[in-house]
Amino acid sequence: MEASADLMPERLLRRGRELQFERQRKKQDRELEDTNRKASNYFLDQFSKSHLEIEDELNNLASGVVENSLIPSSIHKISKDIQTLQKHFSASTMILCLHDVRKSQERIQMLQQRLHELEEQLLPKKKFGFKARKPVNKETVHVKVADEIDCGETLQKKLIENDFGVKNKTNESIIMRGNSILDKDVVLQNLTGCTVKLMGSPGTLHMSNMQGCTILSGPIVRSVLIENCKNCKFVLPCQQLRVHSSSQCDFYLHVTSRAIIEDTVSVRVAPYNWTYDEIDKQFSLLGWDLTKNHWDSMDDFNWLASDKPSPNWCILPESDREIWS
Amino acid sequence: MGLLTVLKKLKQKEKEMRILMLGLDNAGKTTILKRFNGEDIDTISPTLGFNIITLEHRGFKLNVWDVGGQKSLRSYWRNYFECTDGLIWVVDSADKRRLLDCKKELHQLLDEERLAGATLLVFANKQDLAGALSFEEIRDVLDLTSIKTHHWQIVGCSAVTGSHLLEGIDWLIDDISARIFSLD
Ligand SMILES: Nc1nc2c(ncn2[C@@H]2O[C@H](COP(=O)(O)OP(=O)(O)O)[C@@H](O)[C@H]2O)c(=O)[nH]1
Ligand SMILES: [Mg+2]
Repeated sequence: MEASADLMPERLLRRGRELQFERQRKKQDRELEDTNRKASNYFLDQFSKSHLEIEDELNNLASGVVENSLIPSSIHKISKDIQTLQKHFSASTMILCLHDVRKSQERIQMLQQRLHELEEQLLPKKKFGFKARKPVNKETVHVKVADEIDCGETLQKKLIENDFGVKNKTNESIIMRGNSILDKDVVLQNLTGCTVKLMGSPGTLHMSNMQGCTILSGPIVRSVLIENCKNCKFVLPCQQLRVHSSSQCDFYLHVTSRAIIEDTVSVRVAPYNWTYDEIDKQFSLLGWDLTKNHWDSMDDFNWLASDKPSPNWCILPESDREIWS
Repeated sequence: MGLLTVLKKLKQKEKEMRILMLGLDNAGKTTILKRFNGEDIDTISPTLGFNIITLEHRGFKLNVWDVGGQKSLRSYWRNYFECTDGLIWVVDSADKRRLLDCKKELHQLLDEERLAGATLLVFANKQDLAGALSFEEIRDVLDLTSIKTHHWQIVGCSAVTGSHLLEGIDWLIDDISARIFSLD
């Protein structure tokens, strides 16, 4: 008896503490849930609206009120609308519950299927092709835009004349060091078959239109932007990495936040593995937490909808990894 | 009652404003948002989808939506336009290569009917960088003076140092509240 009497308050205390924790946790969960619900309601609202619009268009098409000559462009437009809906959905999956994810995906698939059926039915011979017919007045507007872009282009040319970096080179080997690139916005552009070594700590690194190049860099303070690169090797540490419209590239990465790819295929990733004399000092100046390296988890903006991993990137097998000097 | 109706009702009662933050990716939108919210800005990842943050400032409640700037999402920005009181357009002042793209997207945006009347604040961000264009230069490249359809203002700022961020927001709030809350 005595023993159990002693144990009781202890047990009660513990239970009391547990309850309190539980309540706190629940409150936090509720707050988070609340924000998520707001966002997901908003998404579902917008989704339904777009869904309804597309359904209307499909009904229109099915009812035969669309003039024959306009059918191809109408089908084209609906298919575009469905694509856009899919993209919006893909980008919003993380705020939706599984049920809504499945349901929205199903609804998109149904739209796609209906469009497909209507297409078969209304365009039996594929002779038509898709000639998007633009109303005439749009054409004139277009000319004006082209004009504006032209004058903008001259302006832009002037702006980028004094970019800092390397441009328009073939089969060259270039080294830039320490203070010359420290905290600079470095630009690499239109390079073919070049090797560029940045033995220092640039602020940002912008790379575009490169083929068959190898780019090695010391720690980049903030973001790296890559566009239209093919068959290249990038060996770099940075805070953020964004890769657009590129293919067949290998990345040896240290990323403290995240790397993303968009409209990009055949990417392989490995951990950063370059060193040179001053590199430790340059790393320590940044004060990064070096245990945080998300090299092996890229986000693919074109691949969000399903639970399967993106087919657009994979981990570079250890036996294929190169060593840099 | 739809969510939007609820939002509208709340808005009048609580002096709530809906602010949409847009711009090309890498401009610094999420960093600005986190800076306002006092969060760590060194661990920000590229935005997938969107972030929403509610800020309380000068007795106003600002619902700020930060929508991903990547290409595949831009065509979907319009789904966030409804009930927008203010638009914050964020520019990476050092990214000269994409300024034209930036200008095109901005002017397309301003043509949107559903944004008619929204106040426009342009943040010429990353002023702390040596290669950054001044806000006057950004104003000219983006051809802001041609905008007649919206009240607009451009402010040079830095999300990293925090400079001039509040100045911009204060202008935005003043402009919106003069428009909305004096109408009632
Ligand atoms: N130097 C500097 N870098 C910034 C500033 N604001 C954002 N950045 C960096 O720019 C990159 C993109 O920022 P992020 O907020 O993710 O851009 P978003 O795509 O517009 O949301 C990150 O590496 C940020 O650290 C700024 O004011 N100055
Ligand atoms: Mg972002």
